[in-house]
Amino acid sequence: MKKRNTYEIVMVVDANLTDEESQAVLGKHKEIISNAGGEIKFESPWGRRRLGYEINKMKHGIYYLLWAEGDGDTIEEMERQFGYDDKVIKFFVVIVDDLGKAHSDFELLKAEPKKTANLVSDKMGA
Amino acid sequence: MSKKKRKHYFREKLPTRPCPITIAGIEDIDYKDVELLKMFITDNGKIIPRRISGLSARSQKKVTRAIKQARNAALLSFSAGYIVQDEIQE
Repeated sequence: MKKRNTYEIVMVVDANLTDEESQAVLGKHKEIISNAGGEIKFESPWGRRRLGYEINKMKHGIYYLLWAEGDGDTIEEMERQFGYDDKVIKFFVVIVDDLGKAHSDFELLKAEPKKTANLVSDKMGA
Repeated sequence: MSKKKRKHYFREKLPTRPCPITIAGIEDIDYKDVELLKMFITDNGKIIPRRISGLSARSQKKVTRAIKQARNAALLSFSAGYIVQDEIQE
């Protein structure tokens, strides 16, 4: 039995797709994760964002975040499938300690993106 | 020629300032918080060093880690500053 971890998965989908198409891509990969022994606890869309750099000549992407539990094989299989899919232009996985906290923190960040930045810039002075 | 005697320059001690992240009470720095991270990168996308950013060693490590993660998630650029998001959302 492999050690089970809790993961935060960032998935960037081609922004040229329509809403239904990108939802279909999301649904497909969610199914892949659950079939590979993972369990998706939370999910959250982040909407269309401008990318930090061009990927396959695309300047925008639709971000989705998933919080899932699984082992190394789950993530390996998921990453392999992401690689096969042209519609997923970027993915990023980190281990988080607490899925619920990570999810609620993200919802807070999404509601007030500049909250922490304002707190710090107040303290920085000039 | 005799060895040149090295002059000793004493750097004027600057008044110490507390780390802005610590006194703001932020414990964890999230890589998705690009609004915060953009304060610690230059226009070329470089991470601002600690002697200029004025962060504590602990905070600087967290910020560095978060910036590197954000670059991998295409939230920040490797070679340009902060990417301004489009105003009109789809």
